[in-house]
Amino acid sequence: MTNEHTPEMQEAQQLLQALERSSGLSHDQAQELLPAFVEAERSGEDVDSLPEYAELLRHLDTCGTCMEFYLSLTGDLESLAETNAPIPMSPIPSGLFTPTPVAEPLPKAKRAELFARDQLENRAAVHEITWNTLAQVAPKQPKASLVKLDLLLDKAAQGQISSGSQGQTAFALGEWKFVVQVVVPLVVDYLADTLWKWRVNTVNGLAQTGVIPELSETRVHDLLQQAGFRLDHEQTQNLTSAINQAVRAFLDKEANA
Amino acid sequence: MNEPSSDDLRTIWQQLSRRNEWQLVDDEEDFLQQVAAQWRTLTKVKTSSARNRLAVERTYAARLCEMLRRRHDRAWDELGQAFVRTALRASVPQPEAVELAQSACVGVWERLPTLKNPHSLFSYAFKIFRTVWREHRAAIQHEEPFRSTPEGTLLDDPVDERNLTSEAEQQIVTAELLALLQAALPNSRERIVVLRTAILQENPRDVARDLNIPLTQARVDKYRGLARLRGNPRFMQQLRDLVGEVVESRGRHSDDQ
Repeated sequence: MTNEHTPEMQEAQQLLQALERSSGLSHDQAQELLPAFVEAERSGEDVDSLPEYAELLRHLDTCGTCMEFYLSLTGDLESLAETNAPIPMSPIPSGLFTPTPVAEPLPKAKRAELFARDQLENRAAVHEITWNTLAQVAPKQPKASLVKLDLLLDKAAQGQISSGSQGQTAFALGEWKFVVQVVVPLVVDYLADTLWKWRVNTVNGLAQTGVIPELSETRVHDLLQQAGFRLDHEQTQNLTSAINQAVRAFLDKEANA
Repeated sequence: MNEPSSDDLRTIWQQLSRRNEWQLVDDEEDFLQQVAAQWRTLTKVKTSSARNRLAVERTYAARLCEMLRRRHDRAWDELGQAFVRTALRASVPQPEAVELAQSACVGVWERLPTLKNPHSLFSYAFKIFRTVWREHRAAIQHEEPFRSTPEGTLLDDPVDERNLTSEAEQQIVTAELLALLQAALPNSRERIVVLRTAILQENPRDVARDLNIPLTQARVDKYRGLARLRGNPRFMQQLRDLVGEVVESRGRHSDDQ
């Protein structure tokens, strides 16, 4: 009778098994287990011997995404326990991160719609911000663009602003379509989102808080993509900067009024 | 060591509270007593420094959790700012970092009722933050702000220059397997970690201790080593051949008998 487990056999087969085995966990399942795993590991538990983590450990041996997630998580927790000076950041007003009292946050589209209905009745904010934005991105044609602005705001108030069709390519920034399909939805959505996050009801209220929100280029890119538009990098940059300047100018004026 | 040093705990508390701007403790003496109680439960943490830090962190996490559940603005500010700092460390612009932190805070709020152990708040919260961040990156399809793509730079790390001639290598019976491993894994630390954990089935914690590296590093080395071997078709074929040869020679040996 032969020995079923010669040392040579064991070594080569152990390695082959380690290389070929896969875990039964999905990324989401593995990542759900990671906080408890990391907690146990940091508390000195011998997690490698605990059956409840065996599947997770097999997954980590084969999954770069989840290994990266594990490293990020342990790094985040280690950074809490460092004693060197924290990374500097601009002051952030209190209350910004407290969730709203509503049980479920409203979906973004719903918030934008409510904002359009309830807060745009005098239309001053969106009108002025849109005007100033277009004056910067399309200085030669702002009047042509804004001829239809009141009509657009009627639509916004009824929640009927079209977000455009998929696959639109960039077009002249002063064209009225651009106002209809890009600038107004962008301004409405951004303001609605900002007001929700800062827990104020009106743009004038936002001005009183002294907050100067800043729309990031990433966000504009994201919103444009959601609406199905493709602007090149420079156009996106210009539009972001123009909206930010217009919002700041409006808030300054309101705060000083 | 059965009792913590109250001076050490106080020093650590003061360092961590300064660094992380933790301000939810009114009665420091009472809080430090809770830290000491937590310290006594952490019997498996190896070093006293790590034990002290973890005791402070876990006690504060429970305090923070309680205040978050009450929707205390200061508590949410602290959690949100911890997220913001994490994103800033990866060079994310502050406005974008704030947006990510806000979304993560909503996620934490939604999951707070299901959090069983308030002492583990930070690992759960950072897991949510990292998930939000990853989804945000996926949505905008921007360049990775993280250290690496999982399969990419996770494999590119400075080679450990120490001479890690290992007893483990001498324990390998199959010289051929050792030669294959040496050729496929020139980074000696990765090789030894793979050899000891995947072949000799040793506990990664022991391997990390012997190599004087963090446990997380040992796990990454194992992942990297296995990924490198899996991605090396020549090695995989040679390993399969080796396993086959062992089986064949065993078969011949059996027939001879």
